[in-house]
Amino acid sequence: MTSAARRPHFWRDITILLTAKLVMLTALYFLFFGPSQRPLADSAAVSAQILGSNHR
Amino acid sequence: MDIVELSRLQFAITALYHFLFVPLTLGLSILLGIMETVYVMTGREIWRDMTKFWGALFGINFAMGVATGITMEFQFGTNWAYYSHYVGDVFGAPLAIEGMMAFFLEATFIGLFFFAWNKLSKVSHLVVTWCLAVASNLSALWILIANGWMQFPVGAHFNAATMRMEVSNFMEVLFNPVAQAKFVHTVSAGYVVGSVFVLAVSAYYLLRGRHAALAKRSMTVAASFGLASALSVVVLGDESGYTAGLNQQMKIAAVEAMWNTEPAPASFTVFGIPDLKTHTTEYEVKVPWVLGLIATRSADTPVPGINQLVQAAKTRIKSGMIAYDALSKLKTDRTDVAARKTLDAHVADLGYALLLKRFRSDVQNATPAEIDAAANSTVPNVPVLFWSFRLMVGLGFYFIALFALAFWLSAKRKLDAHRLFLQVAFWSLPLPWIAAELGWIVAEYGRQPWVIEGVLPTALGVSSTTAGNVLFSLIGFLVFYSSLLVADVYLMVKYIRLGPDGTLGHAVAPPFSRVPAE
Repeated sequence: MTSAARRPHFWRDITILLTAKLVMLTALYFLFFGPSQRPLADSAAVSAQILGSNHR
Repeated sequence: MDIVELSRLQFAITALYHFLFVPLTLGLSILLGIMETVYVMTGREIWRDMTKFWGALFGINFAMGVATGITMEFQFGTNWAYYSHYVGDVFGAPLAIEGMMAFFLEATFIGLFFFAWNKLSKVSHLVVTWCLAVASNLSALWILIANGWMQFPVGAHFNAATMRMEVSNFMEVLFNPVAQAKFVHTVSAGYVVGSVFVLAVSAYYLLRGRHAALAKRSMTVAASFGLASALSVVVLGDESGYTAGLNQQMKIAAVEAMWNTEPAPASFTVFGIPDLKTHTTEYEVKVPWVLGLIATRSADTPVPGINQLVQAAKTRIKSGMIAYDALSKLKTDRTDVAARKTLDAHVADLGYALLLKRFRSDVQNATPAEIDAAANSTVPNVPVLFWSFRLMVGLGFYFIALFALAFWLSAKRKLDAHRLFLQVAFWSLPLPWIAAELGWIVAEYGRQPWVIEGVLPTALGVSSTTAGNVLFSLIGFLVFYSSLLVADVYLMVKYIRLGPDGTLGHAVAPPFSRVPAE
């Protein structure tokens, strides 16, 4: 393989890498960090956390 | 491990992993700017090829690193929900601006850098390259403003109605002295990482007798820029030490394993073995005056020791208990004027009362023993900080020596004359990353038990989710990041071995007759 022939592989590698990363990040987000996974934290919840549940 | 420890571990792993990529991006971006500037000024093709080759490695690092930090933002919503609510009004703005800088400005210029070589004039492309460097550094500025606020929460006040910290003076947040000191120290460390990377890879080529023209020029640039950067890291690290001495005295005392206040000016402990049980440091080797000068910039101001700071914490905890009691009353009756007045008088110590939440829920009724325990919990892990700091500083001085030697050899045009130097330069490759990660360990581990210094204990920032959820997502992160690390090392090694000729698709060092003499 000549040097010139190897050149385009750089962008192929980068594209594969970014695609794989995007897929993994998306999977991580939906598996563990989506909206349904986020606990409620408003002022009432923080009041309860800090001052006790009677202060919600 | 409980949910607090798991959440901390997950955040620490993602932050440390993310920071494997960030400093190389910061350092290489400036080095690319320098190389391309030489190309534009001299017109010599080899400097353009150098910019393109190191730019390709920069591209791999950027592609690997981009969005590895976004997982930390995932965690703010799931693992650190209370933290996000409590300080989101302050912390959110710089974080959002950082995202804009990183994803839009930096990404735009990186696209132009790679794909506009034949579409822009030489000068225009040079402007793009410098804009890329500036954008990379600006995105670091904003995240460090956010982090600086966690270390020194200025320009904000506690709002009892919303139960969160709110911005009262954004300029104070922006020009927070801790953030500014952290920014210049961190980016300088990034420049050292980039310079050691170029030095080490170039040494590899010279050891193998390959690409000598590119390698020698690259080493010259790396040695000059690296020497200036390594000196800056030490000077600016001193500034970081001074700002920490103003507002994070426990961190300074822990880093120094200084159990008791010394008469001013305090001495610096070069070596010692801290003992957590006896609160002593065995086999101390001290240098007089140095710590006092670093931490206070004076010869007559004492640096408080750990035991004295624990006593001071007890006073603040008791004051905070008064604030906590007033806050409880105010949440029951918002019109209680006396409670409002009491809260305002003691609100600066409210965070200290929250340290008691680990020991009992009705904080205002804490016993002396619980107050003692809470005060003792303000001491971070002394041996870890003591050794992390010394290793980091030792490496910092090693880099100065390495770059100074490289600079001298470059000036004498003997860069390839000493195989031992080339081998040392090559094997130094991982060291700046180790130093940078140790720096973060000192900064963040040294802030414990606070997530926001003096305002919010780490344990209270964690979400009311389950440890199992955090453990599973931690496993997911480990798989994700391990895959990326393997891919990163594989691609870097592949293109470094391929060399500039193979990577760029043409011979980089053309016949001498085609290269103007330098």
